[in-house]
Amino acid sequence: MGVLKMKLVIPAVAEGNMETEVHDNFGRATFFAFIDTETEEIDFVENTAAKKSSGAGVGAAQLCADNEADIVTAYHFGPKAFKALTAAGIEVLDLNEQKLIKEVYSDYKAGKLAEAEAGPGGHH
Amino acid sequence: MAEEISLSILSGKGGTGKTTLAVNLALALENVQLLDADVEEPNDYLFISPEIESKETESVMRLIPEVNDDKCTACRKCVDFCEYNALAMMLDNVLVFEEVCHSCGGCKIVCPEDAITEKEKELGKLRHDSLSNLDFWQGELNTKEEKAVPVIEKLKTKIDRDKKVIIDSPPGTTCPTIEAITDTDFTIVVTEPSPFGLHDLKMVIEMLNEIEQPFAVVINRAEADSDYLIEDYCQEEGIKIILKIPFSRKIAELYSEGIPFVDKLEGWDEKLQQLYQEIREEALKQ
Repeated sequence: MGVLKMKLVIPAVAEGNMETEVHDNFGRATFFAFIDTETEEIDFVENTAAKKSSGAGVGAAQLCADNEADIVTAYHFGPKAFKALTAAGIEVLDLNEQKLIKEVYSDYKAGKLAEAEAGPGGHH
Repeated sequence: MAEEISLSILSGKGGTGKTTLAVNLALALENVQLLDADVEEPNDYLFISPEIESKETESVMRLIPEVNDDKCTACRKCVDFCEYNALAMMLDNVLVFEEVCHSCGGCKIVCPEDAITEKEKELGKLRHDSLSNLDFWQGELNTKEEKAVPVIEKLKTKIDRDKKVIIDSPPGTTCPTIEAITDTDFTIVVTEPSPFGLHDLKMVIEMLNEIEQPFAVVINRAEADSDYLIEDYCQEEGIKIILKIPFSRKIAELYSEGIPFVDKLEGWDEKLQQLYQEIREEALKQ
């Protein structure tokens, strides 16, 4: 029996591999790691929204949706990013102690990631 | 009639003493207009007009796009156009994030299907109270709104140049602050003698120099053994310190009761009138 094919997204500090560190911000993450849960292939997509003066969370959500994400993880989601992601039917999960992408991935597989809630947004 | 000037009062960080100075200066002068442009948390009214919510109110409106889903073909032109990410395309539906929209109207122009119209939304309010010697206006940003600048723009249309104009600006160095001080003749920067006070003072001064705005510094909560923090810096940079408001329990107590200290403490009326005259002379020289 195969694993259900999903695209899992993790904010990353750089383009790298499973050992790369998780970025502590969703909207302002430098890259997003897209992991195919069936093949365990990992792709990095640059977050072009990070440099925008406002609405980085919305832009990052758009990028995730355009790249057909099924699940997005982050330490924290602002209200606009949360609304945009859920409107796209994307599942949103919270991170807490994980430092490296591989830790997020193994916690995801073990079902340890909890459903996220929208928190306060950024400052302007 | 003597030519009057407009003053903006500014600080790098909140809680430094902008309100204290703005309110007491306004009350010490005659023929004055006070505009509270700290629209995210206006509080001059507590000292000037505590019942302001029952007074004259004017809405500040702005335009927000509305998408007709029947006409929309999900071409994404509007989403790609929006520099502020106020629009997103999710499952072929356009989502509008009203808080970050700058009301530029561009999405409506680029839409090839004529699917976008604009609706008016209340962004904030202006409130007004007319006291015997003081014309008081306050700008107020509605809860959940993020764009303070249009409220300050509207507030500034109320400026009466026949009066001494005092604008209590939002703290910091962002767009709302710059909007509040632009076109005023002179800026007073309020600071406190602490490392935080100095740090944020430097940021504000850098911004003021950038926009070539004339200014001077007031030290609030001044104390003999810590004022050197601000004085040394100002001396090095050739910046004038035009007033010190002492660190005093009496002033703090009056503030906490909503009483302007100029009403209770001897000599401050004259001191603040003199301050205005000094700044006026300085500003008219520019």
